[in-house]
Amino acid sequence: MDTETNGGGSLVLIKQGAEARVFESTFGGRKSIVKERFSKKYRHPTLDSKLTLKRLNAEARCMTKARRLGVSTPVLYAVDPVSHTLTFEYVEGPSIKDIFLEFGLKGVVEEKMDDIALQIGDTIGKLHDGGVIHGDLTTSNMLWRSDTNQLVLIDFGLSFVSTLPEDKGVDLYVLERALLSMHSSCGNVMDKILSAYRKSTKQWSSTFNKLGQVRLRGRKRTMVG
Amino acid sequence: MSPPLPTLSATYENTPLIPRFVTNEQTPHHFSHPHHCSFIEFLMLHVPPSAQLGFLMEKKGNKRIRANVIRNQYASTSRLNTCDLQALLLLHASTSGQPTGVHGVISGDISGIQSFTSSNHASTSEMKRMIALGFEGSANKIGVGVVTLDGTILSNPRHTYITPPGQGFLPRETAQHHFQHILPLIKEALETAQITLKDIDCLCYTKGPGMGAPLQVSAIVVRVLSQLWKIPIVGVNHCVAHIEMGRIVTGADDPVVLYVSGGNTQVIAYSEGRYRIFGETIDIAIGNCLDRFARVLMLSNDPSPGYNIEQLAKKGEKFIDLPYVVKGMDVSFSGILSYIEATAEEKLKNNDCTPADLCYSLQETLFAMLVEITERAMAHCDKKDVLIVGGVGCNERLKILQHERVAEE
Repeated sequence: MDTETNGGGSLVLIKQGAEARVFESTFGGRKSIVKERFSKKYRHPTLDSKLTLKRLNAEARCMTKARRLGVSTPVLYAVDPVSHTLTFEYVEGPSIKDIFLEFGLKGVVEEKMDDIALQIGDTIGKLHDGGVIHGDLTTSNMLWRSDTNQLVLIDFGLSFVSTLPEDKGVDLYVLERALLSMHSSCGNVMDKILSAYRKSTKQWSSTFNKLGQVRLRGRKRTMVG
Repeated sequence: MSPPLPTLSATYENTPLIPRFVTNEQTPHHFSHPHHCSFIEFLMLHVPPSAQLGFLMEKKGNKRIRANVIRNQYASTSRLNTCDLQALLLLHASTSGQPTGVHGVISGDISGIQSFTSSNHASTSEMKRMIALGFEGSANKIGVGVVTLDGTILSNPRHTYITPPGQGFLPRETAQHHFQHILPLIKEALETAQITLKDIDCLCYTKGPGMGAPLQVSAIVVRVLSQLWKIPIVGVNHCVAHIEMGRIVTGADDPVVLYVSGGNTQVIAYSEGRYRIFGETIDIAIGNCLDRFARVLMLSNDPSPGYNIEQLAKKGEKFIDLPYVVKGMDVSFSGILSYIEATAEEKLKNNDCTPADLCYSLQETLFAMLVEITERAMAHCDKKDVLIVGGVGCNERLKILQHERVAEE
């Protein structure tokens, strides 16, 4: 990749994700993250360029919109639609996935767990009330800023703007499933998250009803005939 | 001391059609002419004594027959499920040679199976291999397989219910199809595998999930055979069977599984002691989506609608933009289906594209979604292998895409 496009810092690959490479770099003297979306050869070229650009834009827009809503996300430094890169702040701290996996192995630290669940619920509530749907709420996409003990939401690639209870319900459902499949040994985190979400959001009842309906879809739908 | 005789108690005074039959713990085995014993006596002969102590038969009209199994003398009654009841009735018919009416849908001669296996004395295998005879009939295909413990498939004959173009398969007709083919298939499976009844150690069947009526067919037949042959039954979960079969055939130890078929679309991985679903469709299954689109184009259902879409897609050139719906690790197909159904009608009328283009675009879009959620799951749980199972897994294009994706890493 062309290094001049992100302010001159050297790039060190730290993670190869499903559809992006994440590099550590510096931007204007600050430690930063460069996220490059690469093209996927298995996709049809038309579909691929559409998706890559759409997700790059969605990520940049929704990340800044989320910050405006008071949700903690990394600060966005630069967007380059030509090389499909975003440059943003480097957040020091482990992912929630790592924390929960450690809880699974060594036992849950109740106090910390409650704090995390509270912040997750509160964050999603603020996001949804502002009309932003994250689209990929998994514990891998949440970081825990070590110095301030603050939840940071990342990876807005599948995010979009919507105020429909349907979209909010599906968003919560995705999180519920992610918790269930990965962290079932941590106890019922989702209940804690939902109660925090309930306090934070103004549209609790419509979203919650929708969540109930979403849960009954797919495999759970009744098969008559 | 002679075994205690069953005592036939008096019939209900006001309902004389209902005979009541109570016996002791031990089932009598001394009936010299089982063909002549009454139906209820016959049932008693074939039901494990530990579980059932008596029967309460009830006949309503000509068709509905309900049987209650009385446990602990008269204490509690529990109703036999439909499969058990039909199995018992079929057993009765098979040994008495009389049709019983309720299961007239089963065609073929079950006593042939009995005589076929018992007349064959060629069982010479010194080393005992564990062999299972398996039955699968959860959708429009009925299959009987013989497999050894190490995963060697000795035989696997099957028959598919094929509907005319533009139509899907309905539960009742599918079940009838299965009833017609299951007995010849059993004989064929045993013949091809060159085994006899003595070699079989257990009977397995697809317990579910699937379509109710077709599922019942193998459930009934397996119960009958279990009683006739005195071989235990093992019920198998449909999805787990898909995964385990894939693992045994490929040797993949701990893969992320993409389970794609007419009824299911799931991304599964083993985590914290059990198979867990990481991503799945939130509405219809991928196979369902493809099949329904094949109906719109009136493609043939022979050998399968998905196969014909695949062949047609090879001729497609133009890519038509379709919705792309990935929600986290879940996918949704119903919106795409509605969209392409509407688009197809309009574009084909205006000659904007060919049916091949539509198939091509649909496949590319749907499979890209599948590959993407598989990829997400793999990244999420740090696994390197991917295993594709289920009917849609036959699609070469899906395999190529998945290969390309893995090669990219």
